[in-house]
Amino acid sequence: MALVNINQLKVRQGAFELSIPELRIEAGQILGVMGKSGAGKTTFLHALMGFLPILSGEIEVKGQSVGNLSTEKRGIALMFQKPWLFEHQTVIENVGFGLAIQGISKEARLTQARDWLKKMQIADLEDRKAWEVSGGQAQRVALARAMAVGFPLLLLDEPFSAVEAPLRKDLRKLVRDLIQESQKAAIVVSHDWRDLEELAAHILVLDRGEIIANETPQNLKTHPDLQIRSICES
Amino acid sequence: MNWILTLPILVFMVSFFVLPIGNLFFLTSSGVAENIFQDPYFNHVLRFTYLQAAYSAFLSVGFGFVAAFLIKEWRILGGNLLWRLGLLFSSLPSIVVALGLLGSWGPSIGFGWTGILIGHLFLNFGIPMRLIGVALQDRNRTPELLANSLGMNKRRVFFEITLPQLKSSLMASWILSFLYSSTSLFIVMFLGGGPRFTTLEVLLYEAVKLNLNTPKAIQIASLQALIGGLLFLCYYRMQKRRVQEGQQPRVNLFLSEKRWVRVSVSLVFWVITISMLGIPLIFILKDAAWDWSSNFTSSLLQATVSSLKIGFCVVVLGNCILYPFLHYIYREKGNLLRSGSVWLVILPQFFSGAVVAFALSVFYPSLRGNDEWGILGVVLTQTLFAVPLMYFALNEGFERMAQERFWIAQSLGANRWQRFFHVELPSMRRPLLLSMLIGFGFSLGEVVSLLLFAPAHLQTLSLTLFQAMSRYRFQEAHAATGVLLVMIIVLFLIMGSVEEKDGSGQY
Repeated sequence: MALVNINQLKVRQGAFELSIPELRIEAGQILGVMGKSGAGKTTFLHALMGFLPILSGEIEVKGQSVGNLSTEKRGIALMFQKPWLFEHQTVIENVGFGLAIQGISKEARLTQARDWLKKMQIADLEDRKAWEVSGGQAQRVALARAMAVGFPLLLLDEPFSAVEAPLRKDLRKLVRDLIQESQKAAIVVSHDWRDLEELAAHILVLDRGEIIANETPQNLKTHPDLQIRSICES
Repeated sequence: MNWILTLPILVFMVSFFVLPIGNLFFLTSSGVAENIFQDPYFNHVLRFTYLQAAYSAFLSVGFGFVAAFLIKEWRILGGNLLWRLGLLFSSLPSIVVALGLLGSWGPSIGFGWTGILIGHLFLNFGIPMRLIGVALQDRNRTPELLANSLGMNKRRVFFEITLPQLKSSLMASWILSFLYSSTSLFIVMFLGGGPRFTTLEVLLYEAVKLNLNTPKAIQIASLQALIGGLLFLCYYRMQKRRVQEGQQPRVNLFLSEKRWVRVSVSLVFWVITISMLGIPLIFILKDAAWDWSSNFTSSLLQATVSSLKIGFCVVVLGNCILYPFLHYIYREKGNLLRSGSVWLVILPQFFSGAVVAFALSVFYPSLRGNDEWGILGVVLTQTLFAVPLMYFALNEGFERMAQERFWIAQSLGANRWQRFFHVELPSMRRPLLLSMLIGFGFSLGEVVSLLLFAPAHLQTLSLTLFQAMSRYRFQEAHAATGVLLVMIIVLFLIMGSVEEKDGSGQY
């Protein structure tokens, strides 16, 4: 059974309507989402997170229907283009934020957070204040924070667009390895074809609230529809 | 049910501001008030009040404009210091400024017009300087550069393109300076020098405190309140326009290329600033040190403790009513209520302290001079005036708080309360501290509410200062001023360091 199942999802935001008939994401897999501005990418993420109410349909994560749950109970971690670290906290406190919310003891929390910092290769930053780290480091802290909470699904909204090219490549590899290793699922929204080509098993192409393609990156590159190819190439 | 969070401030404002002020208008229209418009002396005072306020406002805006221009465009030496000092001057209690000007210039200041204008300039120039400075900084410079490249000379660029962009900030700052000058009490009382130079505020004080003529006081207070309300409406319109002004490139067309010109202008400006504004400040501290006597120590210590206690109550009450309201409009209702609700919070600033305190004492007579309730009257009046000031600090904190950080916390499983305690409150620590310091600073120097409500046994620093000045006990006045000034400067320095440390928003 797939880790994430979406069936007949409909979301309305003003005059705009998003429709996702069917979507499955397996454990360890990353789904990419592309589309021009106004295609419905953000609406899709916001509906998954519960920031927007769904009109109809079903969202299942790990066999549990989450469509009617409040955001904090959905078990979906979120990461944005900007890391949005909690600036009053240290790096390790940021990583352990979700664990603290779950009521995990301080010692266990610190141990787990340290493990994640090691995986992100930023173990030496643990005592630094959030605002004392560089942009690339902050993005790693944000990723560690989203992974450490242990939720089955991770949503990444343009996660690398604020990071410089060399760091970007490292981060892509890190995300891919971590998702595979932890057997979680992830949805990555990006404008950058290289991000999705390297990360995603499948890429969903949205246009005016509809899915116009759901293919592997290789298939999309050679897709017969010029419009779809142009979206990927842009 | 979250709208309950707006109740504390609504109840507070309605009970202690809207109803008492409304009651004044009701009493005036129902014939309780004395018809004073037939009194020629009153008409003279009325004319003088607004004439001196208009001149004071022109002077403050003129000086503030030059200062803002030199700081933001010419980047004169010590410009940043002057930018900060403007705020310090504006936050000094007017009674301290009156004493400082008397101490430094003595009778040569010239009582009457000169004293009043210099006093108001001292107190008010910081407001136009900062308002115009921000507008200068944020204006759209592209049309200026385009016009200059097409052959328009700098003088024409300034008058035809730059100045129109500053119009709303110039008008807004004139309105504020006019308002503060028309409602200032102690500058006129101590530097006016007689009945020819009396204003409505002094007349109101005399009617309430000395002549005990309540019908006359009601008439004066209603008139003051009406004009305050009208000025508020004008200011609100100006502010709305100012926010829409653009911002763009950073090329400076008006900066003089000759270094000697910049240095000379800086020096001239600093000489004027130091002699007009700096010397009085130094004299206050000098007199305080020289006139200090051990006789004052215990009474001033007691007055300081009372001031601190009242300030603490004002800050706690202010935050208790203001914070839930701002939390509601920013965190629960998004932008929906923001623009419309600001007026409610900042409205009291447009009414004079004497008018509000008097209105409160008429509506709640048991607050006045009562040993048990008098302190409550003081705290309520001071809170009404501290809240608009505290609002700006808290509002800025809420403005800076990114919604995304709350979404992240929510996605990590944090519920409403956890988001409040783990995300919102820690981010609001500095704005909260800043708002407390501002409220505290205001409370320290406030006198009017104490004159109306304070029980006989209560002595605060500002009240001690007023009583000493009224009885010509200048040694004691200098000592009280010294303590008051040192406390305000310390608060100001802490505020500066709190603002400087605030480097949030990076990630």
